[in-house]
Amino acid sequence: MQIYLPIAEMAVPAEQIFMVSAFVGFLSGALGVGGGFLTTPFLIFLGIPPSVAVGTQASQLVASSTAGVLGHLKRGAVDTKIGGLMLVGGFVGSVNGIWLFKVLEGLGQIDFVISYLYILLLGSIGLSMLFEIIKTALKPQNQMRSEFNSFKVHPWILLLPYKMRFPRSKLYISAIMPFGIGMLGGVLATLLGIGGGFILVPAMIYILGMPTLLVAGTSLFQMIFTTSFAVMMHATINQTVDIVLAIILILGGVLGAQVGASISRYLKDIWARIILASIVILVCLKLTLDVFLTPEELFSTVHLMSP
Amino acid sequence: MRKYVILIGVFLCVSGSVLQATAQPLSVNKTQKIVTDMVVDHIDITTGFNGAKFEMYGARDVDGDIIVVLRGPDKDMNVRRKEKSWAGWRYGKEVQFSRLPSFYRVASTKPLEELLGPDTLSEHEIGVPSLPFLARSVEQDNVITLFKKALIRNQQSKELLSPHLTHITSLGDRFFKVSFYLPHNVPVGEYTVTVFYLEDQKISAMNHHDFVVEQVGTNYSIKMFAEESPLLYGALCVLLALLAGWVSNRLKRIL
Repeated sequence: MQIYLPIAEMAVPAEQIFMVSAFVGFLSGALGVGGGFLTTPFLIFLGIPPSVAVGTQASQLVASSTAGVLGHLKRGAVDTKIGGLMLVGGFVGSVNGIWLFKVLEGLGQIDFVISYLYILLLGSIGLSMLFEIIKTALKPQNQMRSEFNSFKVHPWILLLPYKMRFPRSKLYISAIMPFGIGMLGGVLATLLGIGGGFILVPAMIYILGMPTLLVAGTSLFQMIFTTSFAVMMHATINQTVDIVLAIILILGGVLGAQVGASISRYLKDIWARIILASIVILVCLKLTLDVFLTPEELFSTVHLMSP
Repeated sequence: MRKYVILIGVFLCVSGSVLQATAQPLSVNKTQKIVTDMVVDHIDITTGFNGAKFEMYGARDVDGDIIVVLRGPDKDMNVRRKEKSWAGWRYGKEVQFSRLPSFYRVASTKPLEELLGPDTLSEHEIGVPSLPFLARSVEQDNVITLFKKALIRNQQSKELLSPHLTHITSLGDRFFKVSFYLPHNVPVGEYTVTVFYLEDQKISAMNHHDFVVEQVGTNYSIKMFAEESPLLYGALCVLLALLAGWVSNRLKRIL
């Protein structure tokens, strides 16, 4: 079924988009990953302008992070103080991300940069997941989420100024770090349309030294605000948020998440991880081929504003 | 339904003039050599829009030929070429062309070259080769030609331009019908249809019609809302997403 998108000004196959977002929602329900990294490239494959794909995907992220954070909040697994600092950083990052997007769009290189960042991101995520799967398969171990982080953070991080106490995480670290990590999240959300949990979570564990029990909830908590802010920015500055597309994405995501959550009880964790890792690597390969293989059509034409 | 009303209208009009013509000696006082009208003067883009047909009916003097040119709003166009670099294929050289129709179709009773000379064709911009491809950037001629060909190819693959002539269907001696297909990605804006009536390799009459392609109904309201109050629109999107997230969380607890 074709649906005409009022902002993108084109007709898209609604059921295909719905299926993909449901699948992504399924993954997020089953594995707790955001999945923006799959939706945005898919929307671009369909011919939706990158600016609309990224701007609209941000609103889907608001929905999925809200759905995710509520459970964590109930269990008290959110450090709102670190999250608060991160979201301030997220706002600054979003402003920069939007500006960068505009500059790259003006240069006509936005598609290329988006593809490239995705290749780097998905490649490293896919490989590290694969590595982890092999490691667990060889030596099964119980991964306990704990209130403490046994990982020793690098000393130079402890030397940074503006130190603050974070009682929930039992940390005494510089405020610059959560701010900086949040800023990175903001740039990723506005430039690529992803929540960035894949990058934020490891950063919070290994750079901040946060307890692993708190990272997921805290990153989702700040993501709600950062992505909401990103939606507002895209809507006001670029006018690239398509509410019809957003509704399809959100509906699919919500539905898929339910199925994913109920299936996750029966699906062995290792299999879920293998599926996700292979999808990530496949999408990465597809994007790499697109960039490196000689394209069938070298030229492309865009209509500029009416003279 | 409307189609038939117009058809009848055209018929009455033409039969009227034919009666008049028969009353007087032929070939005298033929002011109107061609009558045409569009079935609709607006193409509505609704949520379910997936392309539309634009139709036009007319009546003409028997011996003349007809050319119909359909043009979408003029746009400046930017053609970019991917070039190989160490980091893969990326956009390099670009050439801008000014003021070309964003949508373009020609219908004709005969091949264009048989009907008019090249000068007349380009004067009225009839046919893809007669469109004025004016490059903004200063480049060598062969480069311009390369980019011009690419532009035609790109527009053609998006069905926005067609080098092929659309067929004009004759309905008897005098009546004719032309229908153009507008694809789902048809640019919105003001369109013009020009009908040329030709005798002895000359344009002896010209009819001009305008129509609009635009979003209507819900789509139009959404577009307007997003443009006029972007802050509210953005807030609505966020609210909707927050609500959906909350509902999703509730559902998970129930299921």
